[in-house]
Amino acid sequence: MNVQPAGHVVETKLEATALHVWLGERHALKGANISVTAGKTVSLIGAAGSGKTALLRAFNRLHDLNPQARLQGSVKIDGAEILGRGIDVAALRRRVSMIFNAPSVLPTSLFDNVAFGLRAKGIRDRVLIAEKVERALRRVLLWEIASPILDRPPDRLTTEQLQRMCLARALALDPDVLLLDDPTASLDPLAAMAFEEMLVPLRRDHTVLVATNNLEQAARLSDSTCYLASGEIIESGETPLVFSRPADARTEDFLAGRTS
Amino acid sequence: MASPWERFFAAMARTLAVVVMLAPLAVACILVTAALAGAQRPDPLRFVSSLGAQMLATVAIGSLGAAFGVTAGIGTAFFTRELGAGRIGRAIDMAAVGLSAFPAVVLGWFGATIVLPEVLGRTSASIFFAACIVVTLAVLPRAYALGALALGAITPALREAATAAGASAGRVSAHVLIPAVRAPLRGIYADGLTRAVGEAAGVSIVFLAAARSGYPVSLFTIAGSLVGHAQTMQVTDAGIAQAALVVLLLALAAQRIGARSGGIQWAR
Amino acid sequence: MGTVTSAPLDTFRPRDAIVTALAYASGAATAAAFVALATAVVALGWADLRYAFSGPVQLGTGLTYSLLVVAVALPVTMAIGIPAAACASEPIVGTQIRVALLASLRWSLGLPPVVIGVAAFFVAMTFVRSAGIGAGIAALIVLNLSNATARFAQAYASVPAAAREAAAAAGASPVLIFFSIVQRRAVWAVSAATLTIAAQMIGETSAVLAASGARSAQAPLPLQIWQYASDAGMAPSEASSCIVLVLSVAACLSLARVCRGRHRSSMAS
Repeated sequence: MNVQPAGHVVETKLEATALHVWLGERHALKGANISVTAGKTVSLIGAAGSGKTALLRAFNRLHDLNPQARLQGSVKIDGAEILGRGIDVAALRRRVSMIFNAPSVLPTSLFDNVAFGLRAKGIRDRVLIAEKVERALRRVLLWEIASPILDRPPDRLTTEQLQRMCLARALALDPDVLLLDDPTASLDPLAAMAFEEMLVPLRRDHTVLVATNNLEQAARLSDSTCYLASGEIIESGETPLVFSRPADARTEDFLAGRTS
Repeated sequence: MASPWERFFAAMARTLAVVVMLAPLAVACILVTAALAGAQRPDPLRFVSSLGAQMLATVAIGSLGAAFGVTAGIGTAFFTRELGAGRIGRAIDMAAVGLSAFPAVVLGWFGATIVLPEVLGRTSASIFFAACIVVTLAVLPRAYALGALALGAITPALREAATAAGASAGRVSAHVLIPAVRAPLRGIYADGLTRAVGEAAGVSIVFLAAARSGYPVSLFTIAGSLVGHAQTMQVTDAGIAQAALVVLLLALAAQRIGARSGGIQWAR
Repeated sequence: MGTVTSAPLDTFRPRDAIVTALAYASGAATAAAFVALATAVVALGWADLRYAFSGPVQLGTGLTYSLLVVAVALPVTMAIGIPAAACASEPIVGTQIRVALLASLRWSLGLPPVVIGVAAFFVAMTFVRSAGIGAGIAALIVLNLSNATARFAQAYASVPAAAREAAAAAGASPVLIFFSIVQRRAVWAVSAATLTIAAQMIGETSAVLAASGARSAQAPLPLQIWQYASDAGMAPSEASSCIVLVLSVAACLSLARVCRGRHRSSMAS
């Protein structure tokens, strides 16, 4: 299912075709078709277990970490297939960065947390690393708080600040695509709102794919929305259209909070 | 792409993993080769000629030791984790953990020096029971640790639900927790049997001490006599390998039962 | 279809009583066993402890040899076990070997030490015509390979998957993730595993006994205890050796416990 209206010639950044994901015995994603235009923000909505995270993880091959995961189909970035052998997965993940539903703090200092990806990339120039870390922290509005404690473990930061730090780690790599897996799930409503506001300007520079259980957030953040249920993409389209006039009754039921 | 160092580490790790996999197979192959070749000579302990009797002793001592040791270990885990909270519970926990610091050879020394002459007396049966006590003591601390682990894995919500329904700690243990950990408990018994069958140092001390002190010794365990044999033989003997293979098969059979039961982590 | 002829017996209360009584009896038996063992060892051996270091038991030599055995066997076991454990805990490092390795570990952890000792004895007798402490050390290494690999793998597996995923999402390679994230977060768990293996090696006798032929006068502590155990006249000196051996093992196990506690608190924070 293409999230772009028919007839438009657009640059497709991400594309999944007939994508199936099995996590052990569970068929988590059943033949998903989706394409995401460069520079756009797409929300994935759906109930728990609907396949949102399974779809996100296919785009940076994070399923590779799970020996029980099996993928079938095609996933392309900028028209290049990424599921085959011989792909530099580490380089792919630097282009397609991801943050998770809870902050993942690495066992090191705040600075090294943000610089981790840069060092993994092989950058050894300290000045360059320091510049990129500062820039990333400024983009997530954390520099003022973080700069005095850069050399310490980030255990003094709040959960929302930690999540910003994780986003800074992703941004430090200048990724083309940002995958956000329910990034405000572990935050209280006020912190979630603050985090969401910080995300808004970032949308201009990256293609963003965000899985969320917060429908209002999806409506506010995204250009397009994709509704998944039981591992299938039920409906996708421009966000205002999906929210105001869903084409599928199941989408309508989900948005209205009814069990279909 | 990964750096040369990373590729080297990954290749080395895989090679060493193969080494770890092949080591037990190599042991089995060596024993099979030795069992088929080499000179067959009777030895002072006559274990080759009385393999059947020794097998009986091995299984009997192993089973009794495992039955008592594992039951006591699991019972103690129930006591410290579920029934006997407070100072007494902590003291008994320390005692059970402290028992794990006694190596098999110290337990064997205890059996040969204290239990055998001071407690049980000079009969053939007393050697058997002393060996059983030694195996029981060897198995108990591990069964305790595994039992505590199994109980710790049960969600607190289960206990709370049963307690909220008015059940006492004893009732919760008997009717909620034991059914919940039935599979791990079976696994712990099988694990205890594996260890009890292969227990050699402690048991061999008891038997050898009895033999040297002029006790009427008619039976040895296979593992025990293997260790005793090593002291007396100068050359390889096919009988040793055959006996070792029997111990290996008994241990693997017990392990298979444990693997089927599932639920516990197998670590020495 | 059967018919109910009588009400089912109330087995509820008897079972409560049996389980409770068994648990109390087990607790008492465990405490009694510990007290009996500790009392026997201390009562018999305490007075001879000083003498045992210079007497015929040569406690000092035994302890030195015990530590020597561990000093040789432990680093070799770790050098093989840690990379192998990386294969077991990190699917991308282990690739297809991982499944076979895990199956192999499940089977080989219960191998009786004496069986491995006998195999080492045969190899030594075949190739060098004599068994000795070297064969015992080799047996100890082979015996603990699976054990160490499983313990290290367990330590690495205790690091949350989220930490690996975060590093992977930042573009780290599997080996980099292993060294910079997994190793660092599991450092206390690995220390605990190492100390536990050291304790087992210090106290382990069967493998060394079987492989070495137990004839050497200059032997590790457990082997010395085994050699003189049947001599009633040596009981006090033997008890002194037991005190030192138990204290050595207990020290390692206590340190391992502290490390495990540290690991748990570091995982919780």
